[in-house]
Amino acid sequence: MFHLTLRNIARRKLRYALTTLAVVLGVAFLSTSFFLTDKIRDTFDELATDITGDIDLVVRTTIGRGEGFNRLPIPEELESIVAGVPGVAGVDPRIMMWNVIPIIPAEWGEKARAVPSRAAPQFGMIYSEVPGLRNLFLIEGRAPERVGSLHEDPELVAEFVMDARTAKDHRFGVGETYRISGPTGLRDFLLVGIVNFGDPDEDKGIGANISGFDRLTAQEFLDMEGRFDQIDIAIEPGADREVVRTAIQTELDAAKAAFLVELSTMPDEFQILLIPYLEAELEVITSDQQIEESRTDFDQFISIISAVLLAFAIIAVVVSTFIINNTFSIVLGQRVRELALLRVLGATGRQVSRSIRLEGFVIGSVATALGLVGGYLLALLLRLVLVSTGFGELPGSIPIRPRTLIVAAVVGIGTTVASTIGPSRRVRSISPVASLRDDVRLTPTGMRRRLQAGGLVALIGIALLAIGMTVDLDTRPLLSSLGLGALGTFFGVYLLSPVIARPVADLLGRPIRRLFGTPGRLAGENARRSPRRTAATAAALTVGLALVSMAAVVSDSMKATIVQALEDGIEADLFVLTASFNPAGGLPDELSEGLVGLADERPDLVASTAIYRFALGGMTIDADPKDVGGVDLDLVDSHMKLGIVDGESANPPTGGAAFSLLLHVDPATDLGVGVGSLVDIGFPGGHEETFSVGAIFDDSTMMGNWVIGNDAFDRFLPRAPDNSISLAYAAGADPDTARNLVHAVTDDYPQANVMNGNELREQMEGRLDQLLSIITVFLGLSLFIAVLGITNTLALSVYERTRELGLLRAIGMTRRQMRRMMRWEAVIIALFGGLLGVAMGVLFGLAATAALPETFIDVTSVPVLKLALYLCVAGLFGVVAAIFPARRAARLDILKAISYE
Amino acid sequence: MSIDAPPRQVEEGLAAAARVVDGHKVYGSGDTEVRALDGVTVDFGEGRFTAIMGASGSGKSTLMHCAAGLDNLTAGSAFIGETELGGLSERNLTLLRRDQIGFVFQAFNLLPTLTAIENINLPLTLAGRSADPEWLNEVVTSIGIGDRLDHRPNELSGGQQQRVAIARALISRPSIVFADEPTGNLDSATGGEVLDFLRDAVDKLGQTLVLVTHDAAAAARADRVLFLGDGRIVDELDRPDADAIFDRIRELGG
Repeated sequence: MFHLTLRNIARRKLRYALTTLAVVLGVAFLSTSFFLTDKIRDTFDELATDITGDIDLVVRTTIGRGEGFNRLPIPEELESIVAGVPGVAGVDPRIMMWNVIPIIPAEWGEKARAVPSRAAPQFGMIYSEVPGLRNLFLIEGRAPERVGSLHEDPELVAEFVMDARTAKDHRFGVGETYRISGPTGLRDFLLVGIVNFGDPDEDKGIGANISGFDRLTAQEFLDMEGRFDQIDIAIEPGADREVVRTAIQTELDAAKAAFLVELSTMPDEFQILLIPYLEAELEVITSDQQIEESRTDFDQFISIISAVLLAFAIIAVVVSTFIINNTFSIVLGQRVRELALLRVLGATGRQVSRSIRLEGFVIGSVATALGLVGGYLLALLLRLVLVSTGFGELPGSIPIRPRTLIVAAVVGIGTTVASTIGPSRRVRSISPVASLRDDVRLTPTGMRRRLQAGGLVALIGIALLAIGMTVDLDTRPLLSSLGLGALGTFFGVYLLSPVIARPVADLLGRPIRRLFGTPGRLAGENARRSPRRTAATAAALTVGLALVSMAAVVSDSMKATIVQALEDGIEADLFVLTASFNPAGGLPDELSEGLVGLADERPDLVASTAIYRFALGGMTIDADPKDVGGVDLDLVDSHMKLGIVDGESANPPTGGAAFSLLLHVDPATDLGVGVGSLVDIGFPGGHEETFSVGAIFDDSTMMGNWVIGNDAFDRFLPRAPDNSISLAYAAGADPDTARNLVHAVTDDYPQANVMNGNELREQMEGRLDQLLSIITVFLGLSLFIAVLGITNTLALSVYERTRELGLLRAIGMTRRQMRRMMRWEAVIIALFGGLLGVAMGVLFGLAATAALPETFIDVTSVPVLKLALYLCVAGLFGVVAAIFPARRAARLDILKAISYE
Repeated sequence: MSIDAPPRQVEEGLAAAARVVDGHKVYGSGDTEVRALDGVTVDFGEGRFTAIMGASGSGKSTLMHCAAGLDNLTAGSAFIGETELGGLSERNLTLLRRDQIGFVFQAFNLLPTLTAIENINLPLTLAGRSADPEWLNEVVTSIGIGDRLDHRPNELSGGQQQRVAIARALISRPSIVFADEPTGNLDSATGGEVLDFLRDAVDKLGQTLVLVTHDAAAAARADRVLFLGDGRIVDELDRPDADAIFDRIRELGG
């Protein structure tokens, strides 16, 4: 039987090639997602290890739950304390400051612009040469040296080094003077050297832009005077790491105790300033722990990428499964007589059905192998794309893990064999007599049972969706109810779709018949003659289009929400934002000061300037991290409409609290607090501060749920930069004049974007559109498989209808008419799949928008035009899918076709 | 038969609806070479009913395919009216078949997705024309399936299907109709009705008809019977009866 199976496959090469291709693509997408995430993970693991180098221990402040961005710095005095501990061989204080942006000088009429960063940070660091601890390695020029104090002379040209990739990409040259935007402001620096990051021989900066300065200049320029982020330590060979660690910890504790004593003798206002540091613990951790931390941080990031890639791969596999199943059903249907002949010759039903499953296994194995090869090539290609879009570098070979191979094999072979189960069971019931009859078909499950099952599943699905939309659930049950609901709806509709395939094909065929005459008419008839096949073929396209349409509805609703928020939530006239990549934003102090000063200089034009801060996970409530926003509470009402429902934004703190808090109604309700209540808030370093609730608001789109004053931000979150700035024009001010005034300040900072409300809205919309198009492109890959499915079905139909096609040609159908007939059949199938997909996508989209929190989606909007466009694209896919089978049909040898069996 | 032998199979005094001149058809090459047609010259006179007979492999189907533009001659030429088929592009050949030739095959003559009347009209609708109502009426009435015109082929009997196929072949008023074993799948009574119907088409409508068959009873309805053997025309009978045909077959076969 095995021999026969192989012969079968060999004889029907083309048919099986098409089946195989579907599996190959599914496996390719799946394995690519593994290959790529493994590669990214490896690269970052390697980087974490490389950077850590010979570091043994690290001194830094402890941090509770929340984000590492908000970690407090350490005082520079610790350096000498640590260096004096026995067993310590070397110390290297480190600063890593975000938003240090080199500026590409103006050139031949082109304006100066900031070095762009799409997805990688732009760091300023200390350049040091401590052996084993350094992470910048000169490859050209020399080390930066101290020229003088930037504080004493802002015009001073200090020195810096730059990472090799940035220098190469943007043609920075040693010996030239460049301007750099840092936390304190704009300064000019002479580029004295080019460095590799992380490794002497290879720049491992993975896309980050790095500027290195001598220690004192770094501290001044990076707003870290008297402080470091951490101290890296190498211990002497032979010393016991744990012993040294304990010794350092003891010294640090002693130093802190001494500091507290010293502090108590200082004036009160000085003590208050240092409050957040008082409770901050100093810790010594091992390099292993640091590597582990960066891995964990990174894992969070990569798990998003990997989840997204995997989701797309799963979609691809699901789509392929539909196609494989459909192909097997058709191919076996065409082979009924041959299989019946086997039965006549004495094969048992079981043997016949086993040989079918064996075919599935062989095809699945071959396809899996090809798919893995394809997946690897695709991963190489995607890496190129990632690198060229500035995501970063991923050098070296892409790892092949046993896990990837196993999953690919299980999925590839598994889905193929599973796809044969239904058809192979039906094959078992073929009676030997069938070989003698002319017109035999496999008899699948009865329509009625299918209708009942489909109706039931669809109803359950819709009910679950409805529950998700209306009932207030926790995140997890909500997601399950929506997910299962969507799945149920989809499969229900899939089961029902053959029933509606005929009327819908009729409807779609009508205009085509009118426009394209007999070929159009025949196309319509062909599309509806086997509704089950039409439905199964269209299903693959339905999956893809449902997802794309859902994404369109969700993103359109998000856009509508933003538009509404910007229309209803804004008082300010102009915004200044940064284009650089940093979750906290980041505008230089000098820029903020300059803009704040405008209200004093030209009160006739600018009424006030509000500065916003933001810290991801910057505070905790009952040890639970919350994102917190900062603004001048006296000013906020003239810039933002928060929708105050109780209290006043500018309410002074009450009940003995030093600071006031504005709170969204939801957390206020959860905590059971009202205006005047006291709330304890935890900050990095372990300090806890009591705030009084000044006001409760109900619009969280602009500022988030938790808003405190910038004074509190300065005190408790010293590392948070100015995130963004808004300006309110004076009454009666000419907007253009006022705006020019602002531009005069911002023009020196190429990374600062100045936008009014409309421009801001357009930018946000543009970003969402971009996101949507990325999603659409990814989902488009699954649509590609769907196109293949249509091609497959049509090609198989050509076999099946060979005699019919031959007859048509004999009695005078031209090749062009034949191609047209095939094409429009494909278009009808595609439009059918498209219609179902778009309809379900809208349903899912509405469910998702209803379920998502108000901050994201408050307004629901269905992009009708876009959806219509998707339908047209689906039709176009039909045209593309028909190219190959239509050509095949047109080229049939008429005589052979007529006498074909 | 020598090359300069008189071309007996050319009918004097009658315009030819189709003809083949010194037609050769060779399949394969070397040892596997098969000469399906080996120098055939034949005229199919207008308004006449010609039957082509011969054993399996005698070349009768090949002759029909080449004469009808479904296949190309290796050498020689085939004409429909005055048009030489060898010089036509694929597209023009298709259009010629559509407009000037009718076909009836042994089986699978009808599109399962179209109704009987739609099948009949198919050659015209493919050409973007509609049938002359009177002609349509005449053809449709003559096949006598009356109220079943809106049925699909699988709802018609085998004989009815073949009559619909013949109506389809007649609808575009072709210069010639080729029928390839049209009764091969029918019982003899039904087959007889179909053949009568074909004979009527020649007598009443003046249709030129070429029938390929190995059934002597079918051939007996023809005006002229050509016998093929080994790719050549080996004999010809005018208005024969079935017995004469049987005798001739026996002679040729023996």
